[in-house]
Amino acid sequence: MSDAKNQAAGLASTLPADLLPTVTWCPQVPFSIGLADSGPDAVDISGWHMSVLTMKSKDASDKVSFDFSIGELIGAGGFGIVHSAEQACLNRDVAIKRIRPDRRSAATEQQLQREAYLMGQLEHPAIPPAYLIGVGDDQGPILVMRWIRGVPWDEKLAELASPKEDGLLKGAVLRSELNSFVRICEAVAFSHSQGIIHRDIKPSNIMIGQYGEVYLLDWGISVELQDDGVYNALGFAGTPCFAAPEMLGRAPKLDPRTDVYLLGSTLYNIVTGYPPHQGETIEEVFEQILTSSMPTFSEGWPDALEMLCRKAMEADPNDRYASARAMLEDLRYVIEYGELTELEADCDQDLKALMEMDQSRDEDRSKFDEIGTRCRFGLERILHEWPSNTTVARNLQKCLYLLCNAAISQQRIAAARALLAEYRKLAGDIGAERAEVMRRRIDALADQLIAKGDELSMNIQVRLVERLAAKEQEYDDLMVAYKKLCK
Amino acid sequence: MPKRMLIILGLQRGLFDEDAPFRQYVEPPDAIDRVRTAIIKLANSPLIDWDCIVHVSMQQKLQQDQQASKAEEFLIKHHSLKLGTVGAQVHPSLADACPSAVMLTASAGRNAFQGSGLDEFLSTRDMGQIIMVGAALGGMLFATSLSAYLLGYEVGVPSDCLLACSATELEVYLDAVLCSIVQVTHSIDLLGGAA
Repeated sequence: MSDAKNQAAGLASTLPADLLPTVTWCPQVPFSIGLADSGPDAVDISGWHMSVLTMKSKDASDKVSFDFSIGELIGAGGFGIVHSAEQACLNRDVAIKRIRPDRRSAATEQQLQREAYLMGQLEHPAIPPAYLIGVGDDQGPILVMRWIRGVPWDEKLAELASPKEDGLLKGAVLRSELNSFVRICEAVAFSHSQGIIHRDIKPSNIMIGQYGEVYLLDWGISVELQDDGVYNALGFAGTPCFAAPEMLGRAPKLDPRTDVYLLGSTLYNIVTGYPPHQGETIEEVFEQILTSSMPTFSEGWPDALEMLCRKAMEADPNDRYASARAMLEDLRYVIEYGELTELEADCDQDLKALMEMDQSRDEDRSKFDEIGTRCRFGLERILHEWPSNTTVARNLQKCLYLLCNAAISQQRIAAARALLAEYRKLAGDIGAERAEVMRRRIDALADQLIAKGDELSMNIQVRLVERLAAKEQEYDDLMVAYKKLCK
Repeated sequence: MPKRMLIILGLQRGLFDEDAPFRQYVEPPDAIDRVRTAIIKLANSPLIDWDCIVHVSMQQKLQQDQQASKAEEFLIKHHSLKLGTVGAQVHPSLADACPSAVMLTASAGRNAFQGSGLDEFLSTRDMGQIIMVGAALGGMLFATSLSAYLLGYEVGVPSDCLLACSATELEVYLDAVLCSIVQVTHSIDLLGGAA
């Protein structure tokens, strides 16, 4: 058994159940661990009235009571359940999170209090505000927060997944989802600025509101970073099929880059429709994360987005984006130039076709010119609007080189010169040698054409002189006739 | 807007001077002066911003079994355009009017591109459009235009700035071949319609 296998098996068997939320699994392989099998709520409390007592002072001597009418069950996590409720005094609907009766313990109660405490520090448009923390009628802790009406993102993504041809989300639909993802990145970047990491970012923890608003939910296992910017966890906590490699250690050291990985995992899920890590068993998933944390990217991925996702999901945190903010900047860039990334993909195909035609010495020059021109101007447009895209710059060099060679072969010398000049500008010193070879070929061709002009003109000149003689005779005859008339 | 260059072919004293013996072969004789004036006017017009003006001086040398025109016969007989002679010098009116004009010398023959480095001169300056004026004698303009065409330059020739032995000779050159490879125009058109 390999080291990774051993580690994965050992980790799976020693998972601290209290810290393990429900696993969200890919649709093809239904799988869950934790408490999902026993149902989200052992006792149905819908329709109950609940008095929530909140402490006004530290010594708990003075308490305030609020009445809530409990409504439907609206969500469930590893240890908590969430109901809708009506707060009569303010005539508003709220969400109340409490600990599942079968999971109540000092640790889970402390965890809910910590969640409330951390959410209280995070006032951000994409993070649901915590209204109050208190004690319910059953003496258990209660977290009252905004009720977000909407659809969990994983459900929305599952709906979008059905009409995809190559399994990837693309075009305007992808851009729309990426805009939602930006909001999540902003929320995560903000929480990092407050010294808090989420640890369980995934589509099912994101809610898309009725009016397009986006919320990052379930801060149940979020933690405050220590002064050194690191959190020393006691064991694994999170969702395995999205998890970063460092989360699987026996004493994981986590920092904001762990959330960056989770953002990468979420992005992967958005584009492909499934989480990055999969397996028949939890051991297999852990083993996959430990041996190959980078998932497979199929050919249809937009290049820029793939680069971004790969960077976020590097196994070594040092190779990832240093922060969610840095990732956010790149993401905004990719979205802004989303149309260009699609054009880039088309140009890649054209360039590939050009290279194949060049290799096979395809005689269909008009097709070569058509594809080459389209490819060149496509790449130039991208580079004009996205000058830092080095891949496009390299591809444009290749394209110009191929077109210049073709122009030389077709004796289109002005075109060859113009293409060479463009190639030189782009290639600089690196392509100088190649450019010099092309220049020599063009000069040799120019000499040939000048000589050809001479030869042709000489041949035609003879006929011109004959024609001139005929014309002059004609003119002389007319003049004779004219003079006769004048006489 | 493509860069534009004026190329003047053979505006030399041997052809354009007041006492040039060539005048006796040209019909009408004052055509020489009209062409010279038109060229100088075009070269100096404030309405055109020439990127460069080049004068290419050329020698005439007939190939065997090639019929010589009257002008060529004259040039051969008098060697007036042989390099180093007084007649081969650039006409003073051009030299005075265009002190910055570049002088190139072509090899013996009819083609201004041959041996003059004109193509390199044009291509290194990224010239897209060239306007050719001057002597259209003995196929000079034709051979030069044909090479320019093959080299991919956009060529324009203002008919009033071309010198031939007669209007008929010029008409034959322009109508027979040149019109299909160059843009035949008039200097007034190049000046944007301004006389």
